[in-house]
Amino acid sequence: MTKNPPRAAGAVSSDPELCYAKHFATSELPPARGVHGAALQLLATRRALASPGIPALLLWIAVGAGSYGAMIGCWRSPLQALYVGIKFPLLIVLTTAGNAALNGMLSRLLGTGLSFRQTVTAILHSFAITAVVLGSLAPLELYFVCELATPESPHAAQAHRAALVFNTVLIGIAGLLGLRHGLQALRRHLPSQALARRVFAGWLAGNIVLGSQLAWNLRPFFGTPSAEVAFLREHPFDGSFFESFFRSAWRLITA
Amino acid sequence: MSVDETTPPGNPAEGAASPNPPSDPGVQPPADATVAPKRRDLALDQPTSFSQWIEALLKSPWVFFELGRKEQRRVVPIFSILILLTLGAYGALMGTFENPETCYTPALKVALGMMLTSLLCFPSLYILVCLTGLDLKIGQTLGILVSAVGLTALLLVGFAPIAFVFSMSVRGAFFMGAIHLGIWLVSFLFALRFMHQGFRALGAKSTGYVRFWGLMLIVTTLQMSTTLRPLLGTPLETAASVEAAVGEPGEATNAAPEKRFFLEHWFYCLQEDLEAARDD
Repeated sequence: MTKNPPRAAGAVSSDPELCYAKHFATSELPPARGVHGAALQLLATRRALASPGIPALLLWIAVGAGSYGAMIGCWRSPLQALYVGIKFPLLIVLTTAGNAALNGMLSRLLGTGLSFRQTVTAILHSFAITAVVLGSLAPLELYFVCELATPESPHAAQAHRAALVFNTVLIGIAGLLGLRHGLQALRRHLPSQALARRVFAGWLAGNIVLGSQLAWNLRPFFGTPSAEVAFLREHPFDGSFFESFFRSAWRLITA
Repeated sequence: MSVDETTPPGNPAEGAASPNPPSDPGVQPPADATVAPKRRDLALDQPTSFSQWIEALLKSPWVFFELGRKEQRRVVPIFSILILLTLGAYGALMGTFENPETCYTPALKVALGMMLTSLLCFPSLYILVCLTGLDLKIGQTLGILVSAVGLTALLLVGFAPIAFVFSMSVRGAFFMGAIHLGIWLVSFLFALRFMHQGFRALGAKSTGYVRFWGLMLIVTTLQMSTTLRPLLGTPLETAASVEAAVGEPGEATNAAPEKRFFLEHWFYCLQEDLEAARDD
């Protein structure tokens, strides 16, 4: 039995499992020197073959999403900054962990040949990019938060709404950048574009459903000015995001 | 221009910054050979004096994309001083609109405000450049940012006579502010174009990230101009209040202006200007 000849880095393999295994194999990593090397290893699409391991990805998520979350919370109070700094990375990790089994099974079902570990690494990589982009926006977020009316001011409700809109836009853009990278990686390393799109759509749908609900359970993030500062609301499992969304939409239509 | 010694193999900038890049006929050209001739052209002139650096910024700004460590250490402080001086001069010109005697305040505000805005946006620029796949180190990215802001500042000085003529003629603060913002926007778009072309020359496939970053810098600068208001100077006759400059009745000079989003502030100023015009 002949072995497959060694492939050049970046070459697309006809065997998806072999190719994706290379993509996430820690033995293939070039040394990451300093913060710049580590950042490049994470972010540069052309170096997709050099994905860092799961601990490094978790560290990036903790630092990036944590710093951005702290800036969001600091509008309400320093304690809220601490809470959101913990909750934001936690939301990402819980979403990935909660969907890990489903996404792993989905990958197998769709015939990618990706292992459970490879699936988790691929999804965490996308989230890590989103987190690092958000972390890089943390100074801007701090500046804009300082520009908002304080929670004690009569314009607090307006400032709260402005913060919601501004942060939704920034988080949305950072999320799109992470997703784009994830799709590119799948396209590069799976034999068919259609297969890459199907896998990606499956992962995305699962993450949106679970992520939205977990974000609802982990409220408050921005901190409603009239409510007290707390890590979680009094009844965090009371209600769901989709229920609330549906009711709001229904009220809007029937009003 | 010397090559950064720490540049790892495979760096797109490698070799291009050398005055006489070694040519080996046996060596295969890089995969992105289409950009290689451009990069060799970029490295022909190595500015040595301050005036040559200024000239390079206007004629061949690409040299700033391939700065070695030595050049970074020279260029970043030189251009930081240049930026502070030129933006200060432009800020002073802005201050002459209301009261030339207090024009030093807008001078300081414009220079320091622009520097602060650039610093706030620098981390996102570095991360977005990494996302394009370019192996530019933090120092190199800082060099590019400083040169881009330097180009904006230089162009502002070029526009200064036009701004001065308008400053002498325009009556409403809103319209004068709009003219200054228009001038700044044109200058900044040139700087963004310079960054876009430079990243392309270095081999970046997509420069959408740079455009997104440019948009963020524009929004941050606009908000900074609202934070640091009044920028068009305080009228001498109403020095006890910033009412005329900020457009808010009953607000004392020592009280910080109310926090506002820049669009809200502009709308308010426009309303004030139109009301004043109707009263006239």
